[in-house]
Amino acid sequence: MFSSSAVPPRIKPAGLAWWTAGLLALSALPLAAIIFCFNPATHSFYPVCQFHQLTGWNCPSCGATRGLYALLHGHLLTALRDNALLVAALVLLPLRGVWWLRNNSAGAAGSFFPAVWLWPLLAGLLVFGVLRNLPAFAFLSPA
Amino acid sequence: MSYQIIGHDGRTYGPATAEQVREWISQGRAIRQTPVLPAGATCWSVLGLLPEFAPLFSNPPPFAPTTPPPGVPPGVTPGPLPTSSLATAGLVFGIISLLCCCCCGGFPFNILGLIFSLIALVQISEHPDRYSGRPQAIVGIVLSAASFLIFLASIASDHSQVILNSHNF
Repeated sequence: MFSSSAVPPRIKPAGLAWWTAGLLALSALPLAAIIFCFNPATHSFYPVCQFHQLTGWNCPSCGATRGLYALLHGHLLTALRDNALLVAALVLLPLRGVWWLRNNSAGAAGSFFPAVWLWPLLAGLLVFGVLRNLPAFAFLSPA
Repeated sequence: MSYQIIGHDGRTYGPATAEQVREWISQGRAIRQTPVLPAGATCWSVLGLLPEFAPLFSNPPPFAPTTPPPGVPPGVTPGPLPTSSLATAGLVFGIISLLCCCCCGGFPFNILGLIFSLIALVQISEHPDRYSGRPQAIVGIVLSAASFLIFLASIASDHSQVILNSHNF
């Protein structure tokens, strides 16, 4: 009935996503090197959180730089204490990356971060931002 | 039923079964706009317009038709309206500005979030039959505005030399 050998070419080359992921990972290296070498708790050239400086409260990303420093030095518990969301993101993002790349090479088109995920993400950020400033959840704030 | 399609390279493929065309779509070899000639048809169409393949393209088309397709009674919109991309962008920038208040006072992102969300609101209220996404736009405005206020306040306090605590990051 039909000639089975002729298959139309892929519209987006499958390898492109892998190159993008590799370039992103490479560009994060110098940043990680700076944070690894200079402790954010003792070096003042790092940007200061405007929200924290104004209000004294911790914003959802407060402690992320210190957490990254702790993580790069292998102190997982300190990193969790500094910013648990950072650790969660660093676990979840690569997982999503692998999942997405596998979908992508199987041809299932889809965005890396579907727009409907924005709502749970925002809710999570706000809940985390409020909780970590309550005395009962002080363990969510940097020591 | 068999179909001929024109691939991305401009060559004609098929005749192929519906099953095979579905496989090509799932592998990214054929898309909504791919020309298709069903066996027995007299003129070419595109895959997204054939009812047997249209459900495979779940994302809404970038330009929703202003008039409902024939067969749909007026006043009844076929399926949910696409979310305005500007509203989504506004919400994304709002969330980024929330996260970046830590490093840069959320600076370029809160302005971008405000601009995108405001344009989205105007777009949605002008074409309520074509776009949805008002909640995204409003939340985008709230987040960006809050971040922008913090940014302004931090500049003001820097100027008045009030540094509450110089050892926080």
